[in-house]
Amino acid sequence: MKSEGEDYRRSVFLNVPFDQGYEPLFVALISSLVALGRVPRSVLEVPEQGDGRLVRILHLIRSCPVSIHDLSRVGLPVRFNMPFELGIAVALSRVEGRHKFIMLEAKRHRLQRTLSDANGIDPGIHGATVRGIMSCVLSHLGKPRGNPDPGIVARIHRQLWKTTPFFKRTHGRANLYSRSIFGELVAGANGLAIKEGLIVA
Amino acid sequence: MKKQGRRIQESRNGIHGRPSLKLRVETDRKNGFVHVVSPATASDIERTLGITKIQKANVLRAFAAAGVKL
Repeated sequence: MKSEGEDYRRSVFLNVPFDQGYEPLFVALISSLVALGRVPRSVLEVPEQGDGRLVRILHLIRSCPVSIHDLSRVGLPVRFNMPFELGIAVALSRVEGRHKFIMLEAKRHRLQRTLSDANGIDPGIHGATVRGIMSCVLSHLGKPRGNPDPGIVARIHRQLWKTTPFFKRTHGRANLYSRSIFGELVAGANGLAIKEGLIVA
Repeated sequence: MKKQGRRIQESRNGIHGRPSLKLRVETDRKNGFVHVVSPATASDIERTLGITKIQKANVLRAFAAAGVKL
């Protein structure tokens, strides 16, 4: 039996846009994190218990030593959620000192204009591609040596992506952003990572 | 060959090679943030997220529907 401390150290909070266009990248984040033996966490998994979304987000970010913040959604409609949650992570990092955060962007140098307060912290640039997301995750959270082959991680993503229509259909959802589907995507990534020999059962 | 690989792994505190449950290393590198911890097992991940047997059964059905062999 592993301690809760170990579970804590492996958890990675995902602060990403919940829109249809982001779904392949969301699945790519889950695939690459599970391939590294990390536990993807999302506000999706926490049921609403009357204390509000903000409290849930705060508790969840605090329960993860690392968070990933994708700030690539800058068009209309304007979305303030991602930078707001990044602000929480930065505050935790500076005040409590034990939280790390990773910023992602699709385009190089754009963050210098959209979030100039973060100048000096280089975001990972994914180019709005699955490969780009995987590369960012592997380079920021991977082992210095012995990272999983990106080709294998890409295969996990491809196979996991094939299951998404089934999940949407069985849960009656138009998108992947629900508690049940999130859990099943992670469980699916688990199965594929075991098959590829990246993690043990 | 296998033995040699194992020796290398142990000599570097188990941070390289196949997933090792013995790994307890956490490293922060200022020049480019790298956060290294021991990999979780599938059971750890499922326990942390509270994934149920029903969900796992649904995952198997999803892979079968997608023609993916686990």
